[in-house]
Order: sequence, then C-alpha cells, then structure tokens
Amino acid sequence: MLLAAEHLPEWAAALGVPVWLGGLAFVLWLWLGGKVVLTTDRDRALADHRASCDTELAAVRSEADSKVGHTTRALERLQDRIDHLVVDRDAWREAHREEVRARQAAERAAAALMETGQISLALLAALKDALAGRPEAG
Amino acid sequence: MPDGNDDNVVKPSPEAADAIVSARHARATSEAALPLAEQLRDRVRSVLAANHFAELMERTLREAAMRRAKGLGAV
Repeated sequence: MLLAAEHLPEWAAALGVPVWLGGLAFVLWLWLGGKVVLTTDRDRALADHRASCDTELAAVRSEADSKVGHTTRALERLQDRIDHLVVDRDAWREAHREEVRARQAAERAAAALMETGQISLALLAALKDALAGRPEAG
Repeated sequence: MPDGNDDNVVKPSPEAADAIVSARHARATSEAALPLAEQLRDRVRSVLAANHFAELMERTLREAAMRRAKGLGAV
C-alpha cells in the first residue's frame, strides 16, 4: 500500500488531477488512516482495561463473598450464644422463683413454730404457777 | 409424639438445671413442713386454751364452794 502511495503523485499527474486535490486527498488519507489506527488502539486499550476491571471486580467480589460468609458464621455463633444465654437466664429466673416460694413457705413455717414456742412458754408458765400454787391451795 | 429435633433444642447450663432442682426440692420440703408446723401451733394453742379454761373453771368452782360454805354458815 505504501508502494502504491509512492506512485500516487505520478498517477495523479498522468490523470490530470490538480496538485492541491492530490494534496488534499493525501491529507485526508493520512487523517483517516491515523483515525483508524487511533480507534483500533483505543478499542484494544479499552478491552484490556475492561478485562483488568473484570478481573479486579471478580477478586473484590470473591473477597466480599468470603467476608460475607465469615460474618454470617460469626452472626450464627453469636445467635447461638444469645439463645443459650436466654435459655440460661430463663432457667435461673425459674430457679429464683422456686427459691422465693420455698423461702416464703419456710418463713410461714418458722412463724408458726415461733408462735408455737411462745404459746409453749405461756403454757409452761401456767404450769409452773399451778405447781407452785397447788401446795398452798392444798 | 416425640420431636426429632431434640438435639437442636437449647438446654440450660448444668448449674442452672441443678439450681432449679435444688430450689424445687427446697420448696417441696418447706411446703411439706408448713402444715405440720401449723398443726403443732394449733394443738399447743388448744392446749393453752384448755388449760386456761380449766383454771377459770377451777377458780369458779372454788369461789362457788366458798360462797356456798359462807351461805350455809350464815344460815
């Protein structure tokens, strides 16, 4: 093609094409050719950039998926711990409730025993008075 | 009908389970002792009331005998 381009001025002179028209055609040829070359280079660069972006995006996505999986597992472990804590709290609450009921029953029983003791003391005092007064009465 | 997911049920810690068992045992013991204590108190109270009633009765009878003796003596 370059060889053909070298002979273009001669062919143009033989055909009677004016010099300015040949120069204009040559400039247009250079401009269009440069444009084609630039477009090709730009497309190739764009394709390379796109490929690198895809690779980077895939790597970032893989890392994000890994982090999501790790976070999900951590959340599941936390949820398990929370479930255990809630069950344990309910169990301790139930134990406390039972202890309160036991203490209330024990307090009532203790009150009854104390009242029994006081009545027994009064009964013993009466018996003592009776035993002390019986010889005099007799 | 037994549930096939018993392994997935979250169970309380052994300490909490032991605490529940111990508290329930204490509650059962206290509630069993309570009626016995109340029964003992009522019996002792009834004995005291009977003793008091016997003293009053004895004093009343003695007073009546004295008054009757005085009355007979006056006649």
